[in-house]
Amino acid sequence: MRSEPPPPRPLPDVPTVDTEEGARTALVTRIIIVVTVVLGQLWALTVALEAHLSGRTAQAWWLALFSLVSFAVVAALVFLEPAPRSRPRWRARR
Amino acid sequence: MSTQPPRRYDGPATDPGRSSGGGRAHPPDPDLVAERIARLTTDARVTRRGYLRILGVLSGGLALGNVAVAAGAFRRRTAGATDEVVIADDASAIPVGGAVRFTYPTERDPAVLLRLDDDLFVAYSTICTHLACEVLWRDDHNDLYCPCHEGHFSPRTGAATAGPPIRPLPEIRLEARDGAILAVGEGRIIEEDVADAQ
Repeated sequence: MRSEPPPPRPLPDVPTVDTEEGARTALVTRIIIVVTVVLGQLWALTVALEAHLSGRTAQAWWLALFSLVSFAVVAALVFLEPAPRSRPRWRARR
Repeated sequence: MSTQPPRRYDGPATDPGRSSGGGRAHPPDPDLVAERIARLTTDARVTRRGYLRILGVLSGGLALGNVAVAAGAFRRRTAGATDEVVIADDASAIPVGGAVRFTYPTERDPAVLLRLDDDLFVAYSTICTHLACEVLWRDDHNDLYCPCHEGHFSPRTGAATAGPPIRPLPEIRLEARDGAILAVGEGRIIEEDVADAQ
């Protein structure tokens, strides 16, 4: 009995299997983004300290808000692990 | 299901540096093997995900620190002091260009009174706004000078004129009463204090 030929290959925008290299690239990309954001937080802390010592409390609070939003971005990148991409249908049926 | 004992590392099968040709195998050097095993078992290995989590904790700490700074965790000088302290009983005894050192508002807060003109007296805290060294009055240079990092301040306004300091010296408000000079409050060099006072 001949098996049916597999359906055509999925289009490029259809989810495919994660490769090890792809997962590593995504992780390193997240690390680079997080490092950039943390550097921004360091800058904000120094400027906020200078603003506080100069009596510009409102500016210090705006910088604190900036730092909190930055932390929210970092937390999302750290703790929200993207779900692994699904296998193509024509393979899943086997 | 069979259980196998853990594999032991015995070093590379061949040592290219000692090979005498033909890819012949040599017995591993026991000292070298012991050193490599020690290095592998004692080095702290951080995975990429672990590194990402460390960065997350660092980011949270920076955010908390920034909030603490904005909330006023660090003390700064304000115009809160209102004590009256007699600096000089006889103001006329101070020559033009002369200075009188005193402390205000507490014994641990050094300050200086300057007579810049016949009827112009100013007083500043002498704690440098850079790294809190004591600022000195130099009559011959007509400036307030911090010897720690070469900071200079204007005697007229207390503003930083050279060196690493950015913020001006806190001013001390003065009052003349019966020929005496009194310190009556901390100054108004801080922008918010100026706004509050107006």
